[in-house]
Amino acid sequence: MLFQICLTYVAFVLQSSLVPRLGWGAAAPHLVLAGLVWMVWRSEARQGGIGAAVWGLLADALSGGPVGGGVVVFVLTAWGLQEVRARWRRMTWYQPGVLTGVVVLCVPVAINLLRLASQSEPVEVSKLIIQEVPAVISTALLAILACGMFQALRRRGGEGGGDFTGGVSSRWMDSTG
Amino acid sequence: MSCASPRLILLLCLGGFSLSLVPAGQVQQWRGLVRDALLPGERVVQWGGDQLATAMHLSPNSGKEEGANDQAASRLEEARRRIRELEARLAALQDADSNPSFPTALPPRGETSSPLFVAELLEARVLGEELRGLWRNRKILGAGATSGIVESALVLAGDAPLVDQGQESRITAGDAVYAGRCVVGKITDVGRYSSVLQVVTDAGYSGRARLARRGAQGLSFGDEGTLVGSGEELCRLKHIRQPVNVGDEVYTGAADGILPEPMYYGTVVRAELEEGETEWLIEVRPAARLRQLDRVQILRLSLNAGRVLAD
Repeated sequence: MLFQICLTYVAFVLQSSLVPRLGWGAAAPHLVLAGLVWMVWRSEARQGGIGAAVWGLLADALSGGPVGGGVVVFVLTAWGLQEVRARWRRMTWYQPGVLTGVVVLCVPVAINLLRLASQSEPVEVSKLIIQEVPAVISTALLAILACGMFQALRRRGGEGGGDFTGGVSSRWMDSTG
Repeated sequence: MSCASPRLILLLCLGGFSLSLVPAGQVQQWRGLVRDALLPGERVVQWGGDQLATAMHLSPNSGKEEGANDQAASRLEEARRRIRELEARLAALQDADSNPSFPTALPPRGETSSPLFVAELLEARVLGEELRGLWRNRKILGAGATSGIVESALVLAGDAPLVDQGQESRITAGDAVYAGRCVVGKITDVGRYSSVLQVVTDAGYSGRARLARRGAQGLSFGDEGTLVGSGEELCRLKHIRQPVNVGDEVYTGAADGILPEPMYYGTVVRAELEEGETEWLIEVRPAARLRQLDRVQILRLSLNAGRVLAD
């Protein structure tokens, strides 16, 4: 629980204060969504779902737009991540980046679609997707870099394993082969 | 690890949809709480960034920084000049108003207590109709929602006038808006970068007001009532029982400890007392015409830091 709370605070602080200072414009990485992937991946099922709802609420509060759409999209994203986690036993070095990239592409597009639809405004999905592409690339690269560093630290610490399994226990790994 | 149960997911999604029914005022309070909670962390990051830049002597935009510093200095000088102008106007108005019942603006020398609230006038630009339309249609938002550049939906809804100051300027709903010494209206919804301006003639506007009459002795104040807008060109002044003449002036209500001088609403253009009624039917033509204004001043209240820190 402490990990989730700390990660929540750090992710949102960095997103609201550090990312604007980078001056990368539309290519700025989406640290909150990258953190969401990590948080859900390392959490128990119920914790991950509730945590995603809280993150969605915080994201809506900071965005200035209507509240609620972020909660729904974040919760559904967490559910999707948990489904993927149940099917992927081991992750290669690039899969965290791919997963994060997909989330960074889909979540803002879905939130914007919900907002535009609720205000009965015309929706141009292609424009919404195109404007997210720079952030998708930067965030995916950041996720790959972070995972690589994490794995390198684990190897140094002698924990073995070359895969990103997050918080999955070795007992589970043994029982599932 | 397993997945969350579909029931939990459904419950959380329904909770999310139901949040859209929460009143906007509550949502704004919630937003303020979240931003306040993140503030300590943001300050740490900002401090760390500044220390890092200083330590590494990194200044990739040194030319731009110098230009920015020059701009900041010129803006500061312009602000100081504006303050001097306002002080001069205030002194001139004090000389013109010789009403002894009205307190002087400057505190007597030797005053030992400082005020709890500090009033500041923040200059804001009124967005023209075309610019307002572009802003509301999100054609000026640039990078989009992912970079956090999203304006409040409340501000973007409707077609009320907008000013170019928002949450980042620490203004709040209810702040009065003036043009010089004339009341323009008040702020109703505060967005991130812009805010909605309710002018005195808008339906829903109301404010304390009192009559005043110019005589040989200067301005003398009379009955106090409520000025309301009705969506028409003229405002109504209600709850006045004393005799009223066309041509009487209308000012803001009695001193509230914030502003030393009353602010001017407009002039009475119709005053009738119908048979059997005790209250006069008064219509007021506002002095400030929004169509003719491109800049206004927003009265922003804040706590006196000296008083708060002393505690």
